[in-house]
Amino acid sequence: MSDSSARKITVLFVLCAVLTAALAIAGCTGTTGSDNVTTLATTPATGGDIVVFTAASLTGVSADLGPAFEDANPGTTVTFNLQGTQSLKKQIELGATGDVFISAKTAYTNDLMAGGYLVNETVKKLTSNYIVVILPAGNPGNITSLDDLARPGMKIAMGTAEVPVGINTRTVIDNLANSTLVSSGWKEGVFDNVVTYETTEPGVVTKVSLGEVDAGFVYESSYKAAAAGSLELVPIPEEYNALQIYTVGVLSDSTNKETAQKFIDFLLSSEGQEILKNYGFTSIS
Amino acid sequence: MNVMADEKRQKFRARAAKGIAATLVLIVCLYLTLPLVALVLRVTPELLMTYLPNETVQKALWLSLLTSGIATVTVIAIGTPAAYFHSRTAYPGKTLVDTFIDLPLVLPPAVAGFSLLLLFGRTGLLGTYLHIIGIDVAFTTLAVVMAQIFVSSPFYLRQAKALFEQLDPAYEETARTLGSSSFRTFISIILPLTASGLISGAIMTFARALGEFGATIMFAGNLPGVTQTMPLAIYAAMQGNFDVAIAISVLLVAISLAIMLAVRLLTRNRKYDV
Amino acid sequence: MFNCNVRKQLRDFTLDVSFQVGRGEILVLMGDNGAGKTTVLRMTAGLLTPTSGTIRIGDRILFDNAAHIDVPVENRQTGYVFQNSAVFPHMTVRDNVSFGLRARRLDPETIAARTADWLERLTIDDLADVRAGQLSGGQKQRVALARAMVTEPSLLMLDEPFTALDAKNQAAVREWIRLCVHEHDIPCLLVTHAVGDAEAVGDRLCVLEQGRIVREENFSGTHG
Repeated sequence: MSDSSARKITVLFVLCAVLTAALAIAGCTGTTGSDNVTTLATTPATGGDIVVFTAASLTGVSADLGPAFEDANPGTTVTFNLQGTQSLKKQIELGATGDVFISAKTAYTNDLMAGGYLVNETVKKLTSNYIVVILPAGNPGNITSLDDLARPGMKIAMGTAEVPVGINTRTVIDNLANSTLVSSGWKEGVFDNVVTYETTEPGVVTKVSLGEVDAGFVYESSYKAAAAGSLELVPIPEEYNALQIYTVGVLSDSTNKETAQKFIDFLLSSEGQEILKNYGFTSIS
Repeated sequence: MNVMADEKRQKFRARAAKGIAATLVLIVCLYLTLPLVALVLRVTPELLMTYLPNETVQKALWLSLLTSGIATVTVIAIGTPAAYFHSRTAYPGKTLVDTFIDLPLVLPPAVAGFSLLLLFGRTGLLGTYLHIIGIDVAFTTLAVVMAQIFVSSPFYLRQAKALFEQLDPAYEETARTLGSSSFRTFISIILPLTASGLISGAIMTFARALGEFGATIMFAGNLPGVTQTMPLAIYAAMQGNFDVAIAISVLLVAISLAIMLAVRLLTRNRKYDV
Repeated sequence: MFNCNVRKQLRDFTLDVSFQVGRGEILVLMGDNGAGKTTVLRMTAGLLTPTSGTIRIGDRILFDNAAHIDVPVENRQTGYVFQNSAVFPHMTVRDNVSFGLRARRLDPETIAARTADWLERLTIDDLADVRAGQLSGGQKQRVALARAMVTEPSLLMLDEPFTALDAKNQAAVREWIRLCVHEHDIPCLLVTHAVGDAEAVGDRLCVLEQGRIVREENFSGTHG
């Protein structure tokens, strides 16, 4: 009788200890921010490990950038937190800890600099990217010109008006609408054909790749990162395009600013820029 | 053996166990409620007054209620008789069916949405043929409902199965010997005896459908007024105006809480001990 | 006359019984749990299908596998009172009793008259508007009996009708059963495991063991 209740108590103690330990660990990671707000889950960097808050449109190239840096700097590990720039900005403001921030929108970088979330002197322009129109392999919508995008019945995916890719897409559409490249009423026609406003740029790529939409507005880098033959391209002339400028900087909360700076230096080096170029990014000279 | 000391020790142990148990319950409660407290603390009445009448919010609210309602009614209409036959008949592969019914509970919703897209999308397994006859499901309000049905139906089906399994077959068998057809027996005996449980299952299904996000954005996309339900509107707003996101979140939490309370009250007022 | 001559493969043995019950006669089936007593009732009611054999009430065939006759449950016109009485807890006593008549779509006046008659006969008319879920065990058993009898079944079956009752109610329910059966002159099958009940209510006894009738006994003369 007392033997079994003793066993029960032991089990309870063990459970309690495990829970307390879990809470303690969670507590340690959460108290770096000055605000007492809910902490978003990220692992703090220790030793040679850094966490890079990265705009989702760099998803493809990040797979090459990380290993290249790790090879050049033995003992380091790079972890990418890939999300929409606006989500990343919010996470940083709410106290998430990381080491490097790669932003797809300069305005958001400026906000974070003003708020003291970035080490301002480390902030640099990283690279840039053009908007293109991608089509699924086989071109099911039979789109051969920009004008075709406004043809009734076409299905188009683009970013929301809040995410950087969506903002640039709208700029491009406005630029084109004022040009002689497209017919009148083109802009309205395009927006009538939108079936989904995706909250990340890869979201647009997914829906196009699956052939579920006829066209999508994405970054040139996504077209380059896709498997050969899986997507088709309708280019947008440079003079009407909106160049997406990416910026990079060390986060103020970084516990490993040395490696963070090293990573930024690597991105800006000829080797880093070459990798970015392979993925369709355009260097900023 | 000192009986007194032994007794004392036992009493102490009992008290210690009680204290630990209470602490654990407290930890669980705090862990589940504090995030919501953090959310509510961010809200001011002005914020709600400013953003809740917002057109995007209104559209998302009505679309959410409409699609979740249709999803729930569909699940009830098809799921009730299906669950009844399932629990009253022995057939090969029954355990497998039980597992499939539970699957959406553990499946990541994004996977559910992706699978739906691969089935019903216009290049999908079935969608290819639907597309030929002019039916495109993906990115429509129907797709929202289908995604919601997929992820929320287990809540109703599990409840209905359990209720029918627990119901003493003597009720329906008596009704049958008294000359009642199986349909009449189902309507006048089985449904009334399981009604309160079925309703609470339906409400859980509705609540889950209301909160559905991952499968919807994958299968139905995000288009205000057509496929942008409240959770999608929250996520989209998070990219831009955080205050809108908070306002819709609070609205969603309020609706969910009201629904859960309704379930509690309904299950407490259970009339028949069957 | 009720004729039952059936075989059914059960998990552990083959049920193989053959017996008759005359009009106004109460045959008690006794035996250990799992001997096949309830199975016989369920096959007679049509809730289970025998492997082979025939079941007849008078010249009406309920089941005959050779002739491919298997009358559905709702058309067999048997009265079946379950062990726990199974009154519908969400209905009033009156709605319980009238259920079978409404299911058979009799005209409302007949339903009202016959229901009122049986409520009175089993002295539950003062409970007519009470929800059946709130009744005591003895009251429930009377409702179940009235509900079965009101449909004027051609055979009455009772499965352990006394187990949930106290001594006083047991005696009363025994009396009701004898009254119903004799007054309506129908055959009655009663399953019990208590020898006392069997002697008190039954006219004849069949003891089942492993699906076979191993002993028959006559109580005729015991009851006045």
